[in-house]
Amino acid sequence: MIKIDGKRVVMKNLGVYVMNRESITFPIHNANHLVLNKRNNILGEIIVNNNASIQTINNKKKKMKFNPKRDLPLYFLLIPAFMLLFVFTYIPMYGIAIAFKEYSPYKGLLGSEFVGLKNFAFFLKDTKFWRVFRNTVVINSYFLIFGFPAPIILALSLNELKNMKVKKFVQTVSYLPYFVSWVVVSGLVISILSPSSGMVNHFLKNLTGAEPIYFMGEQRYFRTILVLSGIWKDIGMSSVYYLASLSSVDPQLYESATLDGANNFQKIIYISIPSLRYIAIILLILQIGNLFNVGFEQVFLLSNPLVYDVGDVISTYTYRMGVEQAQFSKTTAIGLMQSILNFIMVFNANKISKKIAGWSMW
Amino acid sequence: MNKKFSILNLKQQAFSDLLLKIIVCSILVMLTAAIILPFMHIVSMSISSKQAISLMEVGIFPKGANFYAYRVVISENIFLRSLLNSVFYTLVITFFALIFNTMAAYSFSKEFFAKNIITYIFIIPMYFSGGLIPLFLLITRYLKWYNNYLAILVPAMCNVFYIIIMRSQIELIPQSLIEAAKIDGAKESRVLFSIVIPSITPTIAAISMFTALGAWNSWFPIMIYTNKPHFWNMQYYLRTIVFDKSILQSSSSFDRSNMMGHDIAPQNIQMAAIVLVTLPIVMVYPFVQKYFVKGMLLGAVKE
Repeated sequence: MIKIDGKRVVMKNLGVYVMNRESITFPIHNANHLVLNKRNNILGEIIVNNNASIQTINNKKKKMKFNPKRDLPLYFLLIPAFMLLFVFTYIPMYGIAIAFKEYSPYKGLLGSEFVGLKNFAFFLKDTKFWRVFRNTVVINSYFLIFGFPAPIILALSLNELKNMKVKKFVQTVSYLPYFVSWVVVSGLVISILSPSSGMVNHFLKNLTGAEPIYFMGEQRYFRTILVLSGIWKDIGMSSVYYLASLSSVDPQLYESATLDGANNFQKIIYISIPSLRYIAIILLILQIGNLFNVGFEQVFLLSNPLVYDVGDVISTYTYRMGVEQAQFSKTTAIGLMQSILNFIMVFNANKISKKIAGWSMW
Repeated sequence: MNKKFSILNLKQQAFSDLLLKIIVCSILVMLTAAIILPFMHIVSMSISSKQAISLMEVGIFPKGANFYAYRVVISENIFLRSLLNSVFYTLVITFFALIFNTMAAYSFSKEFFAKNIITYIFIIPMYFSGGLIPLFLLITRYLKWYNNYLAILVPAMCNVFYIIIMRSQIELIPQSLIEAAKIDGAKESRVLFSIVIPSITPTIAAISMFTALGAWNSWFPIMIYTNKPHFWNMQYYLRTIVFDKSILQSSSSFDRSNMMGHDIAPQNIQMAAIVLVTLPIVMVYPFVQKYFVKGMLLGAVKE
């Protein structure tokens, strides 16, 4: 409990605004909270430590002047990371110029002919591009609809388990797919779905005597396989966020609900689920921000020419056209458009998240 | 009437609690089975006889167990080479990434001239990138790193996200602790090594685990920047085994002469390769999972 009179404290990481109160209990320790006045000017920062001691830092910005004795060692520490960033992210940004040229490896970037927006016009008219664009958005929407609630359901279920050993076991098992690579996961998926020896067809045959199905080659199964394998891989680790929120709920709430005659369903609906809303909103917004980004590795490894109609996405298309068929200018144009769309989505997602949950990546 | 009602209510409550228990248990049992059964199937397939595989008799338990496929895979030079490469890539990337990221994070936890601009320079690449093709052209045409270990190692050595997480952890160290040390005559380097690094050890551990896992599981740079088998790591080796069926038939780059003596199906080899590539992770992860959980929460709460 601390006292800040007449000021308001923004819990930067939780987004709870507590205004004009005498004292505040901080829900998250080990975090920075900003002290603002009514005009949103930052007056200072409070750091709440693990042992609940509190430290105020005066955040008044002073104009810094260059001071070689203080600054040079710090610059020196930044050099390796800065160089890596410069070479592998900023120089490629300069390389975006390829998108506006007819790039030829012999003439180089500067020597290649400038063609303006021709490359963009080319892919906007290309039906194949619109196919992968549609697939990207549709697959991501499926991930949003089915993949987003999955870890919440797992966390709520785990929270109901009273036996700690069983809980630990289920958690440990559920983390396993997070640790194995997409190569292994897609190897597993392809083998268990194989028409000649797979486990799924084995059980189908034993139970119903049905003819084996070639799941990986059928368009109507492909998106389901993508979404299920994506959920399978991430459900355990994503549930960590929700479990952490659930464990911070005051047990007295559950006890008083029991006394009031609430059953376990009601406790979940009125206590557990509301406690997840902040983290759920944050993760949901982040996921929406990635609408034009489908994990390359998963789609690349699981798809094959039979299912390109429903499964090919922007990143795999860019890879095949660019790296394998050396159409550098056209694919750079597609990549640039994807980067811009991504940036707009993430930027707005952050803005919305800041408004609703008081949390943003910046 | 009233008493009857309350008994009914209690009964309803017991019923709904039982129903919830059934739902929870079935969700958890289904999930556990969905994760364990595929692995059991793979292991069973790798040690079942060729005949049982071709008759589709193998479900989750092996039939006609033999371990020839493992002998074949392990005796292949390319497998051992890939294993060594995996270890080499993981160690080098983790080592340098850790040093570079910690250095940058420590620097960012202090105030210095032009800090705002430099922070923006670091953050912008998290949200905007030039895309795959310019990077590919840079590495293959301008740096001329095609078929070079540097193309696999160097770009993985810096991660802005980890720098930000570490910085916010360093900022949590009480200033009074650092000032007390300085009053006692400690220099900046002494402060870094005796106070800052020990107090963020759990964070450093978590971040190096994430870096190591990423390096171990990575194969994309190997696919686009190299075309020779001696650059392969375990993941890329597995990719060729599972996805390129021609390799199982041809003997150009693989010595499969010792396969002839035994009754082995191609699936045996594929599954044995999957098992061998997964095995190190399965053995290690139960002991390190707590660092990953901690790391996930650090990333969620502080950015």
